[in-house]
Amino acid sequence: MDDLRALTRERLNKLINETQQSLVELKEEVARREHVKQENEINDLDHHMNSAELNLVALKDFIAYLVEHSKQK
Amino acid sequence: MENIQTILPEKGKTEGANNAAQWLTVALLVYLLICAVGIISGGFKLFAGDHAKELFAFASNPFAGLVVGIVATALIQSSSTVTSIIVGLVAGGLPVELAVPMVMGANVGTSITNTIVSLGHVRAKEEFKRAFSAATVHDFFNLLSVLIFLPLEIAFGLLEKTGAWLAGLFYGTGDTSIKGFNFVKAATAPVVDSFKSVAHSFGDQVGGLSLIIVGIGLIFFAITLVGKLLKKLMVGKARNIMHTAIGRGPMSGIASGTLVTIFVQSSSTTTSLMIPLAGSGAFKLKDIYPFTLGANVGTCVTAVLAATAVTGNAQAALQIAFIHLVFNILAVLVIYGIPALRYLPIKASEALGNIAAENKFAALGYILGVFFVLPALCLGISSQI
Repeated sequence: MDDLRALTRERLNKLINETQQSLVELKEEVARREHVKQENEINDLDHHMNSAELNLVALKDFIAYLVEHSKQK
Repeated sequence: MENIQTILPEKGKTEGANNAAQWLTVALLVYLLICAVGIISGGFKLFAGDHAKELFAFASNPFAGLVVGIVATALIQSSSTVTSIIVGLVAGGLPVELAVPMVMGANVGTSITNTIVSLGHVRAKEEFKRAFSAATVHDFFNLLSVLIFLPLEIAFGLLEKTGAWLAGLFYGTGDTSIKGFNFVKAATAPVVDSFKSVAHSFGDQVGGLSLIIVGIGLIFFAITLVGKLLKKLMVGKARNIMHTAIGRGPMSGIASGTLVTIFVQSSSTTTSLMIPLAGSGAFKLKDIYPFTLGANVGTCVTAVLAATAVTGNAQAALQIAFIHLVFNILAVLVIYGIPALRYLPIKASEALGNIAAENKFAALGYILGVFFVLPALCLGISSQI
């Protein structure tokens, strides 16, 4: 913080602007990566369509998991 | 190379012919669905005569009607099927005011499907937390919409009046109204009349009941098969819609949820489709939420379509189909439109997701409680009133 006190007002303003710009760029990059991840998931929609059906196996598996865990406890 | 060049166009032709055959089957199944609603309507009219109201006296309490809608949809796993059956019953004489809570219940009951789908993620804790929250956000939204609109309906008949006004627009005077000439009704009449004439020979009670059972079976068959075929045929379209919606905000999410549901003719498919997308962490709950709201709106199209062609009290049938549509649109406008209400389903589902991830029995307890125990309690209490 002592270093900051030594900086001129112009220099501080320049640093603030640069930090704000970096923040915007970082946020944009995070959003871009999220969109790419979402695009990739949607490309796999055929597979998801198949798993989007009510599947009694999922229910059976869930109950088996509950039984397994209650026995462990 | 010559072989490949000759084989490829042949393969393209075969795929084209396959697609055409599948679309033709979809068209035939939609025709069958509309006929089935007409058959139920005819059967109920024959069975109940002028005593439809007395027959459904148990549902004169709105909570009982709500429970009938919830449990029937949770068991059949299709709100389109249940609302189409309700449309048929209304056309056959079931009073609209008794049917309104039933369609509200159908909305709640349909959300069990994606909740069960989310149980498939149970073995990965974080994935399960996200998937279960994404599934139950739909439940909480639907429960909240019933909490808001059922008392309003009981007090003022808001939806019944709006539905009546909308149906009145289509059944107004003049040649341009449905009453003038209804092509769909004319196209389905021969099939519906054939079933009716066969049923008449068994007498009012047996014939009517047989028609109702056959109609329900046909609706279930048509909607299940149409759903399966459309899933295959429309997956590319759904993918394009979802690609377009990414990063464009909630309105785009609602619109794409509506469109995908209209294309696949099943809100359960649309909302269940979101579960693996949320489970993987690619889509946040705030991305999933608008999409599920759109699914509620898109699913109303089936019943509206079926209601355009029923015989009997056709205006009332269209009225109940519009009530379902108006209810879902108003729920989106009110709950999503008011910031204080907008995030309640998200907060509730996140909290439930956290609890269920820590204690999986809570997930089972929630499903049994909301979809079966609570309705049974409501039914028990309402029967005492």
